[in-house]
Amino acid sequence: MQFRLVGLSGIGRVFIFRQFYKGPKEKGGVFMSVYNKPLPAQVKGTVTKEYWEALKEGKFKFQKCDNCNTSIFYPRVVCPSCMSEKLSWKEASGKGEIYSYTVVYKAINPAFKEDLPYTVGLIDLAEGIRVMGNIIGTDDPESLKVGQAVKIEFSKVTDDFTFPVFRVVEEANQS
Amino acid sequence: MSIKGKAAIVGVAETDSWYTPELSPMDMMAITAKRALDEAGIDKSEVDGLFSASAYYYMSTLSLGEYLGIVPRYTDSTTIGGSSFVSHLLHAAAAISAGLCNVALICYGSSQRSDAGKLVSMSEQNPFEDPFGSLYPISSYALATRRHMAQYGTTSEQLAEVAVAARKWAMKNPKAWKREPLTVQDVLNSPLISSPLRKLDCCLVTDGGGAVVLTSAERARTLKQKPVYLNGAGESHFHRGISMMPDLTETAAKVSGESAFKMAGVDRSDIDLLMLYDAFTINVILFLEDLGFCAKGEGGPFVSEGRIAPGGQLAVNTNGGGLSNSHPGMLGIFLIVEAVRQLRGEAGERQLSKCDVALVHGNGGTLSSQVTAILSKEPS
Ligand SMILES: [Zn+2]
Repeated sequence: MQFRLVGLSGIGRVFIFRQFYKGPKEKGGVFMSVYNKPLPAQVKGTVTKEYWEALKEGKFKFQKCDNCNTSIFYPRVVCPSCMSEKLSWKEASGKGEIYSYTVVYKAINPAFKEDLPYTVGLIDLAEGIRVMGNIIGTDDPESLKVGQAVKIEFSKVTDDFTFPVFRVVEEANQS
Repeated sequence: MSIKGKAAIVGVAETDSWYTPELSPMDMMAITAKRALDEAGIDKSEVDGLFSASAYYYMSTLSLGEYLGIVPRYTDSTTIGGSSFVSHLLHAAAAISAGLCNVALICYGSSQRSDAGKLVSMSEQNPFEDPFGSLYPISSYALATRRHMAQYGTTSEQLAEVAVAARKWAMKNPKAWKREPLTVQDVLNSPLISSPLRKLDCCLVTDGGGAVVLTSAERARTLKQKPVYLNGAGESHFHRGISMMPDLTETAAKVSGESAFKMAGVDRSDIDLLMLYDAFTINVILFLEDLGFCAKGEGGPFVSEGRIAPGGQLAVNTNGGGLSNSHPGMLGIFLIVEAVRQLRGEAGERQLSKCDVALVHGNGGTLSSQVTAILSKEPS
């Protein structure tokens, strides 16, 4: 097995020293390459760490304000509605619907080239928060509908980061 | 106390060409600053308020003051994206009314085209958007477009009408970057970049710089140019990243527009020219709605049948806008320059037969910062 030690992206990005399994492309060998798409910068001990750690366990966590009951995303230390500091973590059901989406046909960052065309969506989760993520599970992304049901899945991209992705719910299973 | 009519634009300038590899962004600021001051008949030594925003200079008024040898009493590098320069108008008028400065110089320069089209940006990372390959900023506007289509039935043809109207105006502007005829079908035939937005729904990538000189209304009346008064202005924002925009079909232009109209004390029907920040075709539709020129959701039909093109009922972006004239990274200052030229009657072939009051609307980020200014030939 060969490992390549790799580089960095620009200012504000983390240094990435990870390898990413891409599957056996050649007989008898396993190609290793890097995950070179943007990753969140150091989350260290900040409030967002809870969110990223939960994703690694297959849970989508968000906050709720103990004072005014507002659902909060992204993670914060004060409620954007009432400024309370008393916020509790909740786990989302993972059910949601497409608020809007775009299909991307051109890669500005070459790391995304192999995925073209791919779909970026804004998903309204049942718990009242909106999240950006990739939408998967359709061969014809332009036929997706605003309001269409999706459910969350978890995509591990490195040992440190797992991202939420949203799979289109088949119409037969929607009821 | 209101700043209505307290300050006036007395000098404007932009670079001669939209491709100037021989000029740095700061060179562009300097050369247009000189021309705008010459046009106003004001000596550099009188400039005591400096305003700028930039993707190149982290502390842009510091660099500008150093380059030009200007020592301001009031300095403002507010950077809220492309709308910054419309915001500077508001801040400068407030500073002038409060006696904090007498002559304000607002400058911008960008070599975006010479930089090979790279989007120069000092933007911080957004860990909740960047990992998903959302193209900045196109995909954000595409998300707003898709939602507007789903909610109100807006069509790609209607978006294309915006681009076609801009091109028709540009064909009357000898300096416009794109002047060849354009049809709705041409726009629809251009490749999708981030659906539903196509290549020709997107603004140009050019070089360019501009400068605006503002002073008190009293001083303005003694100078050689016809003063253009700032009679109303307002600014606001709902969000930074598109995923946090509460409703993708409604921008904070609703707030900034209300403030500006209230201050100016004019109606929509009093506006002879709209200069709307057209980074993408959807922008014009959203701003016409949010500024109250048509009802929410009716922007698509409103821009159809040539209504905003030359000869239409409402003049929008008479220089060709960001879609066909120029778009050097940030557009705000060029919207102001065109409005001033129309109000002074200096717009050549594209001059409107009547232009007494103009609205300039700046947008920044991803439909984020919204700034509206109402400019007029009269101080009330
Ligand atoms: Zn609260």
